[in-house]
Order: sequence, then structure tokens, then C-alpha cells
Amino acid sequence: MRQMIGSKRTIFACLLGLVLAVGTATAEEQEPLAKLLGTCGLEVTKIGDDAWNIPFDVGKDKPLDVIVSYHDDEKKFALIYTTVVDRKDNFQFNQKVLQECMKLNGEYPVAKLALDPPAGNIDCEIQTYIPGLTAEELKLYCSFVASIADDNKANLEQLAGQ
Amino acid sequence: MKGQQLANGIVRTALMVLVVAAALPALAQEQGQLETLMNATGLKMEKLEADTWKVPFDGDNGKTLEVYVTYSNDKKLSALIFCTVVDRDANFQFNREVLARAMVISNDQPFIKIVLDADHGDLDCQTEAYMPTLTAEALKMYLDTVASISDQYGAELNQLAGQ
Repeated sequence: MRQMIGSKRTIFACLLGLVLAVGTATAEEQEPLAKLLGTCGLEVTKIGDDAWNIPFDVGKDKPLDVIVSYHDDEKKFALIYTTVVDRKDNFQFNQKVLQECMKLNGEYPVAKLALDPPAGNIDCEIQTYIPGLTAEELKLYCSFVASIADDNKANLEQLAGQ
Repeated sequence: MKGQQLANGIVRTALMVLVVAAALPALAQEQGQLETLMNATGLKMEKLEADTWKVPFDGDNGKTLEVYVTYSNDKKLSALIFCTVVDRDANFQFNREVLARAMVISNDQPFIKIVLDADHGDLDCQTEAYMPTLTAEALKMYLDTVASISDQYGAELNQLAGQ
């Protein structure tokens, strides 16, 4: 007998429940990301109601900005991302740059390169569950995203063209 | 504001692994832990070789999806759970449309990502789970999620990929 796949909503709800049960509640209830970011030791600038910017110095004129926000309305998931390639809205990325991104997805654990077509962006991102998340982990996730972006930005920019 | 400095890449990665390992509670860390967790999921599975399992799922359209579980590296710090969504010849050149769609799916779906395995000509749906905090229940849900997403987008991606 083989197992049946549950509905997407059921799976997601169960996953939430499981992680909730396993995780240690270290973040505050109402504004967990604000609390975590306030104690993570990074320079953080609030840029919106629930969005923060963390600049990383990568030895260039402009810092590499990592954005932290909530991934969902219930504020259970954090989204940590940076834009690696920024083009005009609805830019048609070519096969070469997309292929390279998807190869990189297989090389980096946890993080992924993803396409945001309306914004014309290729982003590097991590989604993580907030209950149980520590400030130290959040700091490391931010650094990891920045590191991947910095390591691959020049190549992906070149492949993407204009 | 100058911003924080990025350390050397290798150092950064090693540091991340070490600190995350130290920061998280150890729920399952012994040798053979993945096997213990797999057995505890209660799922029907086939052990293919040391530390590698195949778990069949019934898809919505009657076809069988095979989800694979193994360690993602020699350190056994994380488990890799994946399903091949599109299977073509080795070194198949996937077109722009299917790659773009796969990357949008990666953007829309939390936790999972679509990965290109160029050598095998595969597009895989996968996720990685950190072993020290992984439970059998969570592993089962990761398996179900990978199967569900693969089933949901498999036909579309195969059609876009062409032959």
C-alpha cells in the first residue's frame, strides 16, 4: 500500500503544527522579528511596517542590502532575501542565467535563488519558521544570504545581460 | 552606515554550520539517525543502499511519485529529500520557459526549491532538513510536501520542458 498525498493546505497546517510542537519559543509573541533583529548584533534599519534592511559591506561603493520581513500575515515565517540581479519589471531573463541559478540551488543548502518576474528580480532567499528561531540563527541566515549573493552576483549579472 | 563585513566564504559556511549546530537542541544525533527517523515515519519505503530510501506516493492522476531521502553530505548534518519532477536525457538543455517557471515556483513555495541536475538531465523538487532538530513527524511532512509540490507542478513542467 502506498501513501496518499495530503492536500497542500493540510500538509502546510500539519507542518506548522509539528514545527510549533518541536520548536522552543524564544521569540516574542507579537513582534518576534523586531525583537530578534534588535538583539542579533547587526546594524538594522526599519524600512516599513514589518520590513528591515541589513546592509553588508562587500567592499564596493554600495552595501549589499539584505531585507528581512514576514512571509505570511500570521507572522509565523520569516523571509530573508536580497536581490542578486535587478532588472526592469517583467524583464525576460535568458536561459543561461536561469540555468546557472538552478544549478546553484543544488549547491547551497537551505537557501535558494528564485525569480520574481513582476519586479524583474532574481533574489537569494531563505524562509524560516519564527518560533524557535534565535537571534544568532537569524544573524547567520542573513549573513548566508549575503554571502551567496556576493559570491555569485557578478557572474549572474553578466549572464543576465541588459 | 557602513554595514557589516562579510567574512571569507569558507569561513562563513563553516561558522554557520558550527554555530547552528551548537545553538539548536540535539534531538536525534546518533549514527543511523536518519534510518531511525525513516522507520518511525510509518511510511512504506524501500531502502536502496546505505542511508538512501525511496518512498512511493500516489499522485492525484494515478501515477506514482518516488521521493528519495538521503544525507546531503558526508557530515550527515542534513537530510536531502527530493523528487525528480522532470526526467530527460543527461545534459538535456532545458529551455528558458521551463527554467523560469521552476524559479517562480521556488519563489512561491516556502521551504522547497526546484533544482537543476544538469548531469542527469533532471529537474528536482527538494528540501533540506537539519538533522539535529529533525523529528520523524517533521520528516514525514517534508516527504509529503515534496511529493505534493512535485505532483502539483509535474505535468506543467514536463509540458514546458518538451522533449
